[in-house]
Amino acid sequence: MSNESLRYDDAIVRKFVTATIVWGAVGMLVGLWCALQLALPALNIGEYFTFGRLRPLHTNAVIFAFAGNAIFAAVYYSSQRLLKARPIDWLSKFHFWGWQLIILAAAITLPLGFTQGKEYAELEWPIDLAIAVVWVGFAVNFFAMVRNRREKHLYVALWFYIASIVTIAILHIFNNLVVPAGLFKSYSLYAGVQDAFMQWWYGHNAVAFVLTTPFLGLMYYFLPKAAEKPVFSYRLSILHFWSLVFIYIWAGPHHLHYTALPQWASTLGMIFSVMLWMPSWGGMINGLLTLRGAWNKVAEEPVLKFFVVGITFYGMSTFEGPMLSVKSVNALSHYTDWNIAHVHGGALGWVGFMTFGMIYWLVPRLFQTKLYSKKLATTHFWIATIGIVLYIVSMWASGITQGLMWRAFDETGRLQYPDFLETVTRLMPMYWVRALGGSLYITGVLLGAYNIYKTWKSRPATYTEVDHPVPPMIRAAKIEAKEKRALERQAEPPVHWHRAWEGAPALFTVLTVTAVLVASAFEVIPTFLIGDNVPRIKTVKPYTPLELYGRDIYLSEGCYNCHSQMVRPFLDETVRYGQGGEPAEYSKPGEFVYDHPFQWGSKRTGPDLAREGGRRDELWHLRHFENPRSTSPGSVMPSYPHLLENDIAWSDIQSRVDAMAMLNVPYDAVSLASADRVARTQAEAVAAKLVKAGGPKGMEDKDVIALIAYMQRLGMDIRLQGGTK
Amino acid sequence: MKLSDLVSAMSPTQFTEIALVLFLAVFVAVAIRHGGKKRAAEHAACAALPLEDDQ
Repeated sequence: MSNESLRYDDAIVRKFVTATIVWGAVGMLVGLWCALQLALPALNIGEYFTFGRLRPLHTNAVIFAFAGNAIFAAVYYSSQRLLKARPIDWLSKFHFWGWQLIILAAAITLPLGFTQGKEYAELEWPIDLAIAVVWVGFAVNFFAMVRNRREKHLYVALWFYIASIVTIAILHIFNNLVVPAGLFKSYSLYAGVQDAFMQWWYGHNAVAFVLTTPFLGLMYYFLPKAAEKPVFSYRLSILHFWSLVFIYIWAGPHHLHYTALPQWASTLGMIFSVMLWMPSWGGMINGLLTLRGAWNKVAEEPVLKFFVVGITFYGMSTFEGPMLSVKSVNALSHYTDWNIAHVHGGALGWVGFMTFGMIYWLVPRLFQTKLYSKKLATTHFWIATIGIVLYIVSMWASGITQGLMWRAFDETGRLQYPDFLETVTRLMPMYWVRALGGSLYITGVLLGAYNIYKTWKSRPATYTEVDHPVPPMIRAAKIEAKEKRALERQAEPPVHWHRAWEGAPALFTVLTVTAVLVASAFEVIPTFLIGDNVPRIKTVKPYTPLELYGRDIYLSEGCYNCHSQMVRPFLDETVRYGQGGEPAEYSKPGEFVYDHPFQWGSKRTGPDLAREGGRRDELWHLRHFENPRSTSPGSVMPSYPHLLENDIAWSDIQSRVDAMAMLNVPYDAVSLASADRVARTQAEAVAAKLVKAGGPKGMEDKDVIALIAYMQRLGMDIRLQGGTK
Repeated sequence: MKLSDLVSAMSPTQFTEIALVLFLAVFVAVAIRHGGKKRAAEHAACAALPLEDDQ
């Protein structure tokens, strides 16, 4: 032991813990608001607080603000102690404040309708750049600790952190490659099938490397601390880590079963998803068996209660996920509330409970006082547990009901529920139970926040800073060791190869990145380069400038949160979305070659819109946007009266067409020269149809005209002669 | 010859088979090296790391 000592930086952990609680409460309250909006559409308020704009705010807040800050708190607390190194103070502050500003920017821009239109990747390009900068700051800070460490071995929790840090960077960069068309407007570099593939490669791995691996790192550190016992099997943790890193990255395509994605990619995603079950359950078993001989403590300690239920939900979610990825199950579950049940099992059960377990363990140590009330923490646990059960069971019931009603045929061979609205109104009781479950969970969170506030109030006037005696830095020791290498070789037993890797973090990181990149390359390269994957359809043409602008409104309003644009090759879908008694064509890859970004959606609260064009007249659409209940009684869609009031920003249209042209969308010379004039001409024609049908006059400058033009274009190209073959 | 020609000449199944063999090999290697009992003492020492650090 050297004479050196070290003070850990707990101030940064206190900051991140506080941010976790604050943003957690905000994000979950927004989630509750969204849940209530589905049961009570009147709660869609004004232009900025509709479901389509708030739902991305909810998902971004709970994933990147609540879970994100929790991850940072866990990483800064455990890494300092496992590595015996202090992070760089100014970089920690930069990381903290930078991340909070990003969250604030998201909270402002998403309700304003600035979005890239891709789930969990909605934030526009300036914010994406800021995320990249702050993330690099975090990575530098983390790897500086690794470099300056005083413990040779990298404990398994740190491997999970390393995998998360490098993989999230890769995912963020590749899924957010865009061409800007203004300060808060951009178009994805990819289109259609390829964009869908990239998005779900990103989306699924956001679940993996934001919501799973960092929390496994958290589990492998904080669970042994709380149980005062080492992890059940370190060997199993090694297998758990490498299996997850190798397998997870492949599973994304299971989000796109029966879509226009090539079948081989879809099958590949399914097989690797099923394979994921084994390492995931290995991890769960490893976590639960860590408590062997300590189960009596679970009855007494709320921290362990949260951890046990959290790990159990990890097991349940990682069983349900592979099951849902099996194509035949997915045919029923996809686009339904079953997915919502699944994701909340993971989010509320695994992520939420592991976070609160960690916070209740940390808070007395960080604030150097006793927890205000263990009883209140236990109450939080029980209320939240009941809340999760109500939430999940109601959404399972809702999802299975939806799936079965959509595909039901009666004895005459007709759809049993041809009106989509029947399948919406049937779900109302389940939506109320979900809102009750969510309310209970949030009540628990607010009780927790109060408990922690009261604990903080009883902190000492000044925190005691302890100087921890530490061994010399590994770097310094290496130099010394080099000089005595010959001697040491004789004295020490040979080092096991995996342990040698773990002592060489650079090599370890490179191997992890290689595993992730190789897996990605095996899926991405064929998807992008095999020509047969996206057969061209002659009749599919680019959107007109007005339709493009209308499509941007569709993105801005977050319509993709409730509507898919993907008719799957199932009889019930081709019949339901057909016109004039003729079944529709199921969706083909070639239909989406100009869709930057793709808009296939992942949930059908409302019907699919891929074949919407020509189904209804312009006036119906106008009335429907103004007040959906006027045309569709019982609809839960928000009203959009502002679309009838807001003027089209004609001056923006040219830059948007130019941006699309940069992405090789073949616009004609007239559109490239004067897109706004082309758009005005089409707008006047649409407005004239409205007037002819008995609608209001003077609509030609309004946003609603552009959105109607887009609606009426959907699915039209493939109907043209020769388009379907 | 372009990369796209090369990739298109292979069937998607071949990609997945190559990947499966590669990944299975790595998994088996890690499992074999860590499956035996002779690393037990080393693993126990690693597992104890969180309990040794200062609070």
